[in-house]
Amino acid sequence: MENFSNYAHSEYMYNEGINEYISNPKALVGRKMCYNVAGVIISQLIVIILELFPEILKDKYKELEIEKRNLVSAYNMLNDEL
Amino acid sequence: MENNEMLESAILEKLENDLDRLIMTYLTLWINLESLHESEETEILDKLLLKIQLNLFSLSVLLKGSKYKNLDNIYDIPSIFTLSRTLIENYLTIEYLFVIKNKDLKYTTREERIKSYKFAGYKNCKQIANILKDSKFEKEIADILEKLELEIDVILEKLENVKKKDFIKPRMGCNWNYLIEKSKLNTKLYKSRWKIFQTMLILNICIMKG
Repeated sequence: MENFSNYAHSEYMYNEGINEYISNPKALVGRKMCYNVAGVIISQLIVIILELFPEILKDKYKELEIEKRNLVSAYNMLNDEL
Repeated sequence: MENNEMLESAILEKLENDLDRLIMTYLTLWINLESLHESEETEILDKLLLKIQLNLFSLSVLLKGSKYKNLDNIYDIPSIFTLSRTLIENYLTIEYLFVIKNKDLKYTTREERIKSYKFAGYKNCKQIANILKDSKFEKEIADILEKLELEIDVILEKLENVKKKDFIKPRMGCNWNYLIEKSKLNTKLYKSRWKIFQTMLILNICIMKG
C-alpha cells in the first residue's frame, strides 16, 4: 500500500512538472517564432521553385501567378510580424 | 489578462492557417513539377524538396500541440526547434546548390557543387554501411564513389588553386552562417533567429527552468 502511494505520488509530481513545463509562457514565444520561420522558408521556397521552373507559370498553371503575388505579400507580412 | 490570452490565441490561429495555406500551395507546385525527373540535377532537388515537405508536416503537427494519455497540448519545444533548424539547413542546401550565384562561391559552377555534394553524401553512406557491417551496400557505395572521384579529378584539372580535400567537404567547406549571408534569408531579423537556433540548447534549458 505504501509503495502504491509512493508511486501515485511520484506520478502526480511528474504530471505536475510536465504540465508546468508545457504551459510555460516561454514555450508560446518559441512556437510563434517557429511558425514564422516555417512561413518565411516556405514562401521563399515557392518563389525559388517558380524562378527555377518558370514554365509552370507559362503553361497550364497561370493562376499560380496570382498566388505567387499573394505569397510574396504574405512573406513580407511575416517579416513585419517578426 | 483574458484579452491578452484571446489575442495570443488569435495570432496563433492565424499563423497556423497561414502555414497550412502555404504548405498546400507548395504541394500544388511540387506535384506539378514534372520536369523534376529529367536530369540528375533536378532529381537531387526533388529529394531535397521531399525532405522539406516531411520537415514541414512534422513541424506543423508538433506546433499544434500533441497529446499523450491524460496530457493534452504538449508542445515539444526542443523537437520544434530541432526541426526548424533542419528546415533552414535543407532550404540553405537548395539555395547553395541551385540559387546562389557562382561568384559568391569563388570558383564553382552548379554542376561542380552538385558533384561535390553527392560525393560528400555517399561518403557518409559508406560510413553508415561500415557501421552496419553491410558488405553488399558498402561495395555498391564504394563503386559509386570511385566513379564520382574520377569525374571530380577531371573537374579539378580545370580548376586552379583548388585542393581535392576542400572540394569534397560538405558544401565545399561553406558554413551555414556564410550561406545565410549569401541567401535570400540575409536579413538582420533572420540572422538573429538563426543565432537562436544555433544556441538552442541553452535556450531549451532556459525554457525548462522557466
